[in-house]
Amino acid sequence: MRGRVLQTLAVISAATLVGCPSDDDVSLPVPTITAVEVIPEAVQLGPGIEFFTLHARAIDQWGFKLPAVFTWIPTGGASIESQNGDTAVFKTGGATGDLTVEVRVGTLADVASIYVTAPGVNADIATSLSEPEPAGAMFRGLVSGNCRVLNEVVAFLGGGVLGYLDGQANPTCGAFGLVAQVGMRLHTETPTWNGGRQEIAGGNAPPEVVKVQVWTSEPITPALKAMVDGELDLVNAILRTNRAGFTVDRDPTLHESSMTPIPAECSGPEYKTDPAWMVSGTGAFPDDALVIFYTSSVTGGNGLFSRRGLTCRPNVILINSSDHVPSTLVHEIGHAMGLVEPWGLTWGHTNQWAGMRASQNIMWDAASTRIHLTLGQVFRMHKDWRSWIVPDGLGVDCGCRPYQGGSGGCPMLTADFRMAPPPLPPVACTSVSP
Amino acid sequence: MTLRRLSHFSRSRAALVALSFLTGACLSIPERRVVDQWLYCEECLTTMPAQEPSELRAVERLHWRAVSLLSHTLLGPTPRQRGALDSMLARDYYLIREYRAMGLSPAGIRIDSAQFVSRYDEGMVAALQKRAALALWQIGTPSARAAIRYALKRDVLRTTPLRPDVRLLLDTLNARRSP
Repeated sequence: MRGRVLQTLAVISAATLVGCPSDDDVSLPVPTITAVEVIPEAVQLGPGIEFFTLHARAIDQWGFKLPAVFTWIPTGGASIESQNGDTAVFKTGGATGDLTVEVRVGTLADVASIYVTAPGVNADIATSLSEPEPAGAMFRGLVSGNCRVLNEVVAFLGGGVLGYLDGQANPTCGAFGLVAQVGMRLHTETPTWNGGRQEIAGGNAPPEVVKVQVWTSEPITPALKAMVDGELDLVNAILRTNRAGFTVDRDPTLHESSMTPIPAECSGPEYKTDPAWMVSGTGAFPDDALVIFYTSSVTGGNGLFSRRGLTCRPNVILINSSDHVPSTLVHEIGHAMGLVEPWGLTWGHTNQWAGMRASQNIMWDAASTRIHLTLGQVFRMHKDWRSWIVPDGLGVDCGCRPYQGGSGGCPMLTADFRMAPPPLPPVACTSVSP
Repeated sequence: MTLRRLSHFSRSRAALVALSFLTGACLSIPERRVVDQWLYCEECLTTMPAQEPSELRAVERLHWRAVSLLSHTLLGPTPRQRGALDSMLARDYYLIREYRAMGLSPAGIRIDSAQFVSRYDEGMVAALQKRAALALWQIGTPSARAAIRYALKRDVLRTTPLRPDVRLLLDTLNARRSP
């Protein structure tokens, strides 16, 4: 009996040593670019189309997009017309047949295949591209007979994704056009075909720069300035990598505030229970700038815990200066730009939605490396009425369901480059009214 | 022979019982994620206007089984948490550095990784401790409350004491009854 007890104790001791599944799976990885991708990977140009645009991205070992300096190498008579960051415009040089464009970062490379159609061949493409439609699009996919199977169509304006066309959403062969467009605040919403260029007029222009004011409830020190600089750079690195079409002003004035710790218009019990949140211009801050307010406390709930950040009005962002992470600011900017649905359910946070690249998405509500935006999110930032940069009365309603586009005909929130279609569970939600 | 078999059976059963007990005391990976969701959430308001965020309520539902992980977190990040924080900061630092290397920032290219990490690290560790403390207080079992008291006692002996706001919260929670 005594032996059995001892045996049991020995087993328990051993098991204790083994313990719970360990909490020590430490990893200190350094991000390294492991692949380069060119988008689209294939382009077919109709007769008379001389120019085309390619977009590249560098991917690390976890699939994160990283900033990089790209080198483009066209072949077969094509030449580079212009380059702006991860995008380059090429000229075919009048040749027909197969061309290639290689993109390189160090020793890594990817190749796009370009096929220039001779006059009279594949007339359907030529017809489509010459139609006076808002067809500033580039596409990749298969062309078979008269039926184009379009996997992915994007167009760019101001450096951002302008539109998205999904062949699945447009099953009638021959129909061509942007089923969705993104309008920038200062650009036309009905772009016209630009003399054969496979892009919108003004297409490769730099992104829109959003005016910013930074306020702080603490004394302005070099350390604080360095922190703000770093976070604004991170915001712009992420927006640029995701071709969001806008960046934030990188040289804002820092204001020391006496409105401590939280400006009056952001106090109140629980701001987001009140649809009046959507109304801007309540006093202390200007309407024409994104206000970023670093404060010593962003309390919430029972008053015993503090949030890292909060977007308390469409253009007023609070950042908890004593507890936040570098990506808190870009997350809050996502809210300011209309990523707030399903209202009352997840408030724009993507933690529960499949197809959003999980913790990599900037709207993931937890400290993690958040650097991704889907095309669907970028679309809403520019087109949905909830976004601060969409002028009053000009926005469409993308609805509150992540897997539907609302009455505005928006792409799903999950619409993205090279993403496998996610499962589409029904989402019951009630949208806030404009 | 039969007795030896029985003895073998008893030994196996004892081992199984011990392991079952210990495994039961551990958090599964999905349950650990529930704790992480609370420890790391940014706005923590998925079921507003509830008084406490749903992330905290979810941890509370794990009850005594979450106490071990929360107690360790209260004393400072566990190796896994330390690794997650460090790797997040390393990646964010890398993004900023590469962006500046492209000449796109007026702030220039100079950025010191050690300074960058230390700028955020203290706040993130303090936040983990505060959230662990709040969850322990909310759970309110004797061992959970003992963990708060232990952290306060241990603080006296620390070479690096708790941040004043963490200490203040622990004192407040220690003096209040759990809900």
